[in-house]
Amino acid sequence: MIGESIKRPDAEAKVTGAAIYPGDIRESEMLTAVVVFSDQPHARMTSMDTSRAAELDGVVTIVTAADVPLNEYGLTMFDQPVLVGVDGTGRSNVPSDISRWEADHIAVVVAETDAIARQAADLIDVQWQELPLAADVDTALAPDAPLIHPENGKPTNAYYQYVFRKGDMEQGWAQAEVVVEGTYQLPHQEHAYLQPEAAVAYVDEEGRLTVEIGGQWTHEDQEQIAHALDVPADQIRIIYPAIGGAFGGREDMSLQIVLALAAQKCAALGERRPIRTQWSREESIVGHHKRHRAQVTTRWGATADGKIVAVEADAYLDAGSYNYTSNKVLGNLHMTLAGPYLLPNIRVDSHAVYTTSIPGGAFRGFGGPQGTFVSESQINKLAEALGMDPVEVRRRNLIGDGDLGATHTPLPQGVSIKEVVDDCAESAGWGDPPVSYQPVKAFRSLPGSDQATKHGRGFACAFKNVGFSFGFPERCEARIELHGDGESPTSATLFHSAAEVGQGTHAALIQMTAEALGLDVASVDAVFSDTARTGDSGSVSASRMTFMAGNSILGAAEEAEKSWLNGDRPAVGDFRYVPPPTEMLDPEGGPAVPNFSYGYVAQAVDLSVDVETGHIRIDRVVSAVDVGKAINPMLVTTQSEGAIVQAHGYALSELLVSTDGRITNPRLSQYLIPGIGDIPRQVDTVIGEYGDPLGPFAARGMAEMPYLPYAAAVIAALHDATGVWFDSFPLTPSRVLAGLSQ
Amino acid sequence: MMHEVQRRGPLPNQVLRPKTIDEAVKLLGEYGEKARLIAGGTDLILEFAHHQHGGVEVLIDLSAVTGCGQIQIDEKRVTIGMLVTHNQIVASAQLWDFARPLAEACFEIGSPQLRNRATVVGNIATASPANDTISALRVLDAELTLRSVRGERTVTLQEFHTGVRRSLRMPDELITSITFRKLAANERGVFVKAGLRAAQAISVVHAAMVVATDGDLVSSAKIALGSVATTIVEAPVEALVGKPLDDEAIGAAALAAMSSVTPIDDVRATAAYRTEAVRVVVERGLQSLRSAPADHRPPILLGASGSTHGSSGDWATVNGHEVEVAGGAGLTLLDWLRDVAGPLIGASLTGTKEGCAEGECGACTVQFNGSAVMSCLVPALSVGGASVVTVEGIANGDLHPVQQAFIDKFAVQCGYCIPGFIVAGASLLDEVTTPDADAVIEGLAGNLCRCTGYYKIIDAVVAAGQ
Repeated sequence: MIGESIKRPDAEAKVTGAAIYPGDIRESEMLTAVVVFSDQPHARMTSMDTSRAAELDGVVTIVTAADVPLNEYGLTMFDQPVLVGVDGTGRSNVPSDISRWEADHIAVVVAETDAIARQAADLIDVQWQELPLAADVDTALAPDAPLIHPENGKPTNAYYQYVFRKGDMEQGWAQAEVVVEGTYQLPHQEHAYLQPEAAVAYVDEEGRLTVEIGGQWTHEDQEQIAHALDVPADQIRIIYPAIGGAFGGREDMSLQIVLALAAQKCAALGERRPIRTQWSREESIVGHHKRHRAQVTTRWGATADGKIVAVEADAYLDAGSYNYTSNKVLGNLHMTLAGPYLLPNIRVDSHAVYTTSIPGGAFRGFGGPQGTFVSESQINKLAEALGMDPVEVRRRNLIGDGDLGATHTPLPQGVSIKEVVDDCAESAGWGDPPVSYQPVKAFRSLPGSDQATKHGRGFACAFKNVGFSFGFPERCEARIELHGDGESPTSATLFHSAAEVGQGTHAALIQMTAEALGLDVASVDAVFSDTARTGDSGSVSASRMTFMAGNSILGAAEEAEKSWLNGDRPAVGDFRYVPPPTEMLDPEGGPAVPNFSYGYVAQAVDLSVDVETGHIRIDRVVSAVDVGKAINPMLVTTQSEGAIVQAHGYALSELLVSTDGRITNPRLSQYLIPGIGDIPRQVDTVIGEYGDPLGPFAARGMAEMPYLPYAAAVIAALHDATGVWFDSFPLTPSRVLAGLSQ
Repeated sequence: MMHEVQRRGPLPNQVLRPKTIDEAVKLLGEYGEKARLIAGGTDLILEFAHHQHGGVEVLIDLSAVTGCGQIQIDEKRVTIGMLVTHNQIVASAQLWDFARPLAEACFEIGSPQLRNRATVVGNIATASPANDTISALRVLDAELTLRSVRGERTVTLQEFHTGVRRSLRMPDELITSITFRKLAANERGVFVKAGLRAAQAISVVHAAMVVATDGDLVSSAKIALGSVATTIVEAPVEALVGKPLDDEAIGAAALAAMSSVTPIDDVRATAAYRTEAVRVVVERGLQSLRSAPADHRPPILLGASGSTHGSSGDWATVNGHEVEVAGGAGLTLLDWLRDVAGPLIGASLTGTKEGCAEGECGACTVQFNGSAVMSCLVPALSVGGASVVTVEGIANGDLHPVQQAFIDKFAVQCGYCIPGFIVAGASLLDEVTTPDADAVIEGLAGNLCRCTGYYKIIDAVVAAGQ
């Protein structure tokens, strides 16, 4: 059963239109809410008058900061007011009268219809005193920059740091016979999940404030709401219906807290109708965080025989106006800046910087794509400078089991990057004579130009942690009930909170449950993602759910079987899996163990470019990824393909434009994600099964991995074709041509 | 004052559906600035949503007007009525022969779903310098017929556009038809567009070109360039006329074209890029005219006729159920299906999704009289007299073959885009029984997915046709 591609249990409802997403919930009587954005990238609210809005016929209530008992929000540090306001706001760690983002919330208008709610919102009279902007890292680090969070007591907007200190840099540079350097600019990226944010909130039959929404971690949503409302967590209930994509973009709160506040206030007024709200695409793009921008200056040195002897880097992550998960994303950026290599001498300093720009947050890879782009571009440049094959340079430096990395500690057992690099090179025919591809068809109505088309190949590899890092409490709970009248159980029910955001986790969990119990898949059903019924699973993020949930299921199956032997009917097994502990990185760069599991990936990319128009076509991607054990190979392949095409958009077409902290292209006609005609012509996923000693059935996480090396591999291929290095992207035709003409 | 992205303008509650041109012109005369004409709706619905039509109280929906959806091909000229869609042009094999620049321009606009609804006259009326059909019609010497209660007049396309979104059309005038000349036996034409993606692309620059030859020499030529100035501009052709169509003449013409443009920097490209792209587009376009165009297979329409105009009435058929459309006042077809029609027929119709509300993502795809359209861009009242099929009604029995194939091939992840793909995929299979991967890529160009990377979707639709 493990290793079989069983069908997804959610597929049928999704192809018939029967699947219910949060915006599809219809009750006979519902109210509508509009969450009002501040429209101020940096300003102090001096007054707010909701009286005219409240008097409008059809308005039920208006929620403001005065209704928030604990007016602070943050996944890892409380630095954002739930609602910006002036009068009588609740306790807070952060000044609540300041808007630091154009999409900070100032009110929730609840009304009979959306049109009335919007009309009322427009009648809210707010006065602002504008504050100086610092909409990018350079401005925010200038000596005269305004402090965006003075309450944190720090003298600068750079508020979070990591360092690597290993070996002796002077000695490293002395040994270096070849040195390459670069300053890299990493762009924002929008998640563009197809389902814009939507939610329904109400008080359930047991009196719990209930929010049905698409998220990534039911119990974190519950905890964040409980914190702001200052109530016990069990008075809050979170239910996830079908979720229309996430990719990290639903990890932070969007509508969770504000809609719970609205339902609470309505209930206090005796109004029990469910409240619904749905963002437009523009509201979604303006209203949630992005993959972080970053800039990195770095220098790598190697000996003539390709041994890397010195790596230095200074990285600045644009956190935007709130931390969200930036301190953790910074950690992954930091870890990947040194790459999966055994390096004797390292100095890396990474900083998260508050700006008055869009908050950066979780997005598939979580800082890894940015750091990987830099380190893989550096090693590709080293290969060029050395006149050596890029795969060969990697082979001479890749890290293995027991090697002491940048953290002065070994990676968790089961390091497979060498095998993965070899698998990729072999499947791609690396070193074989070039394949002859057709010329790029830059214009649909004309054949491609032979003379203007150049071809190239590029290579990159990567590693990234699986699971929560840096000492963040990691756990995952499962419950299994066994049913049957005879000697052995004939069916089972799994209770689990793992969020099905599209990745197929529910199929994999049912499959692992069946395997653990020796039952058919058809004999296992499941209850998912309802805090009233399912335990804390942690988030679907960090490629962790198969690993964590699998272990929780194995434990719960064992407990349930004990209960069965004990004669309990139904037999019930509860289990909370806790992996080996992790640590914060040492502030001085000393030893630390930040992670308990890793994933490994390598990619080879064949590219063609029209050097007169700048149009790029990717001809083939070979992506080798170690998944430990493929629980469901088709789900692995589909995650790989989806990750590569998302990275393809990041590398080639997705250009988010902001001016003074305001997004100026918040539509899908302006922010271009890949369409069906834009994707790499061929993607070959090579599944490695080298095994994670701690993984369930030896599986390790993989959903982010194929994203990581793609941009660097594409840019190496473009260099191979044209002789020009690009240190920033996306590679739009306009930017490609500008780069080639320099 | 709300954030710009939170302000939402509704559609007018009043939608008038004249059945004749005379009625339409009369209504336009009556309501003047208080009315807006709508046919395809591609631009207009969005403009209403973004509050660009304050003071407009009435939509005059032209889609029920009879006698305006034909392409008439005479000995020398072609006339297209105001309801002729882009896909009707694309579907005409004769126009690929006689008016290739226009056929190519229409084929490169938007997606099949848009082209089944959007009209060529609407594209001309919008008067954006990025609108592809304008240049194509310019090189075919098009003329427009405008009607009002005051009478009828004819203006050349050359004089019609006076600036960005400005034209000679008076508020009470209706563009009833366009005529243009057929390419002669000694002429060849081409349309070339530089965009940022394979489909659904707005022109970064484009060029329409026609060259006539007399023996080995060029006897006349016309080059119209789009997205390079406030209106379409014509490039000088002195370098070509009287010379053979050789590299030297073409190179000189391409350089002359570059110097005739005054483009701007925007989110899509820099001015410098546009200027250089003009050179390449003109050069390669002219080179292609040295030989006859390669054969191409019939373009995919996601429908039989390419048009969804021409029905009228107060009732619509939704998945086989008769429904009164009056409750759709002020709503798009998408919202009406989800919130009004569903409850009226006692079924959940929330399978049709909103992903962008601008015709860009395809999640709202439904069949309208058998052709796929974006329901977010259709006023609900415009479906009066028509048949609508949503994802809930696509199966004839348990599951449609394309639904089963999506399950079997793992083409489903988050699923939010999938109803749109299913409806578009079913339309494709109605049109091409065994599509290959290229046909699927062409047919599903109007549907975005963020999870799958599309590979398994292509596999599924191909498999459904096997």
